[in-house]
Amino acid sequence: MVNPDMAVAVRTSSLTKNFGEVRAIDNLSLDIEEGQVYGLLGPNGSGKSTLMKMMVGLIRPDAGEISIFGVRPYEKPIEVRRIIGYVPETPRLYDFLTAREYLEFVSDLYGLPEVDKRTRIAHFLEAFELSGREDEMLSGYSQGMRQKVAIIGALLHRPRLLIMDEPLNGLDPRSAKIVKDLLNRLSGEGVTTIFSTHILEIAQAICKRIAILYGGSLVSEGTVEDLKGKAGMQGSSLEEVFLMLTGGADVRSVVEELSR
Amino acid sequence: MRWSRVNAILLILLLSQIRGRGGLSNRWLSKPTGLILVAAIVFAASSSIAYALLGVVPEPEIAYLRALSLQLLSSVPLIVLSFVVLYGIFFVIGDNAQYASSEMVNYMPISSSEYVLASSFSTVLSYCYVVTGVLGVSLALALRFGLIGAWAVSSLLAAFCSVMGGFASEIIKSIVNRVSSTFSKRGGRAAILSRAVLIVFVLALSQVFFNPGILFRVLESIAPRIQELWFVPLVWPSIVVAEASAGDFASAAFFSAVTLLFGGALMLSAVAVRSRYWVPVPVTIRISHSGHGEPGKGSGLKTGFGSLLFTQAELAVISKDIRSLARRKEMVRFWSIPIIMMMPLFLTMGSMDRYEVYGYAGMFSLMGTGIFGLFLSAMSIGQEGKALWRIFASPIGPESYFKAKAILPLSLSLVLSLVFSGVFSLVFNFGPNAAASLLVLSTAMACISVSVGLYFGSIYPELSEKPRGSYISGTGILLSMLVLGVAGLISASPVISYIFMGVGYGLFPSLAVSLASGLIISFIFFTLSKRQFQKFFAELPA
Repeated sequence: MVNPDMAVAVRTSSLTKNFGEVRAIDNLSLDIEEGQVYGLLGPNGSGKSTLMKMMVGLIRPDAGEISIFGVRPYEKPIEVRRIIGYVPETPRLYDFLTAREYLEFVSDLYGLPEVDKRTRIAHFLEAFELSGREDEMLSGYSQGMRQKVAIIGALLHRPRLLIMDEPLNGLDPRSAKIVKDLLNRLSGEGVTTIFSTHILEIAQAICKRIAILYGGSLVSEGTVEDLKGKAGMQGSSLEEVFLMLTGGADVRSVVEELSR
Repeated sequence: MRWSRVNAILLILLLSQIRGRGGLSNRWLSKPTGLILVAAIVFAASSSIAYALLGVVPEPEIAYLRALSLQLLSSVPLIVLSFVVLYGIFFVIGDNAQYASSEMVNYMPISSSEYVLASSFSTVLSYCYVVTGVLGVSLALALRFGLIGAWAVSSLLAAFCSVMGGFASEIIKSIVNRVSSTFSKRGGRAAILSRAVLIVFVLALSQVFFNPGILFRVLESIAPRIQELWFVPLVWPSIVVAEASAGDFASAAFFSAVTLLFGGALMLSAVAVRSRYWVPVPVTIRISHSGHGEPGKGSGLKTGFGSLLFTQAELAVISKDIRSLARRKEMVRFWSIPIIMMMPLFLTMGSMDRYEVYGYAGMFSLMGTGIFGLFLSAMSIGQEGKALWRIFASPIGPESYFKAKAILPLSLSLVLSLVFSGVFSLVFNFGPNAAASLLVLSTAMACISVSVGLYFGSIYPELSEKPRGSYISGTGILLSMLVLGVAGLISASPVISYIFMGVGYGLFPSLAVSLASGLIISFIFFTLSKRQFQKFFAELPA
């Protein structure tokens, strides 16, 4: 349920997207309030990444509507992208640039003034413990370091909406903690964050609301308590609720088969 | 060593090399059998065409060729060996170290000897059509001059030499990967520059070596004295052919034995260096040492004249592409195009008359500018690869992106047209008319090539991440070259008609018409490209 006092950051109604024969998003209607940390959960292929790409305007919907702060991203992509920070699932960076050059490039794309650009890059490099490595080419960076650079790239222009597809992939525990704390802090500053993860404990710990997708459809939405209540599993963990809703509760037979 | 494993790796490496060339997916050509069929067709075609051509060569030249034919046949193994080694070097230049280091052969239970054998054979097989082409031409010579026995020995040794070339390539690959890693780690910006210079040098050298005119002159001087070079292992197979043809079978047997030993030594060396430098190390290159948190100087573009003409985002894309051209070894190779186009003319000009020099200077200027502009612009989108998401997720529109992508290849091609016309005019002492013609035609060609390249590059971008990036599909590059050829001809025809047929109202009116038609064609293709960029921006390609 959307709080009538709060502005809606993302609204989808009857959103549908097909890739050939495959229906990636199926008649999805969803409202995400401004200032929330919102979790998208779902097994592989459930449509999380597709939904996020539609929010950024990277993919056009086949049917239905999607709007970001009231603007349709496929109609006014530049306007929407100015206020969005996006981290894809596997962020490919320009390997021939150094981390600093890459971040300067991103800052320039967003039109950041020179002074802000330098200050923010230095600040984020320090925060993510990349200082001292910023003049190395990205081709030599580990997956976790690349992920950090991609996250910094999404934060540099102070977006109103952060869309992060499994942002904690490859991060060490300390960096993951930094990201989690940062998301909470940004939420306090009114920044809306939508992120997907397979780590249910993290979703439970930092998300105000969660949507569970399965086969491109929304199977449940709400706070963690709402989800448990809707599933009739009040005393259960989020993992149990998730597995029940996404048809994967009984994994024992699979494990037995694999261990033979 | 298990041969079944060698076979399995060979198949995978072969598929990787064939499919890495792009544009062949889901077709019969993307299979090894397709490659062998192509090689057989090339053999049949080259032998037939060469035989037919030898039939129409005038008698004085035939007598000259007859006198030289045995030496040419004996040179075939050496030519084949050089070809394979050269392609091995090309592979290293185009290879992506990130992929090489993550290849599954690095962590599967495969011995270095199994890998070396498979990799060498895959190098040989993936370019076997070049070898069969050489063998086809040599067969025509042998049939024409009754040297079929010598051809048989020569072909057998050429086949062995191709495998030796594969082993030599393996040694080069292993060492270059290792040296490059170590050097790049320590050298930073200087390493990048040195690598670029080295790549351009190797490509230019290979062009000189495989330029038919130059190659023929080298062989002409070396072939008659090949026995004198008995101490050079690379010429031992050639000595075998010469000695066997002369009836000295004992000497032929001796050099056959040492050739086999040399091949074995090459294989053992390849295995040894592969064992030592098994996994290529992804390089960590530090560009500058500005210290913690201190900002870089930037590209200079942003503070100068550029800031008046372009937005901050456009300049960011231009700066990134300049770095891409300077730092990515698969992009650096394009810098060699101007040198490759100039060298043959400089090396063979001694035997040309003045009008031939005019003709060749014009042809090489137009081709050089055209190919350079076409490749740079056609690959401008494809070179983004999977990192294209960064552009699509940023607030930069198709018009700005188009502008940023057009200006770099256009500027560089225009500079190149100036260089070509300036250098050729100075070196060959052209008069003002010839110099002006060269400049106008090259300028028109620069504009046409970039506009055509951008158009086809935006229709057929190749964004998939392959070990050897092609950045534009095979169909795209073929179509763009075809269109560029036609458009270039249309633009240059008024000048060509005036110079060679006397049609027109004088040189300068012809030049004006050529330039105008070139600019009109460019305008059409730039407009089409702009529209295509808008279409391309509708959705991030999968």
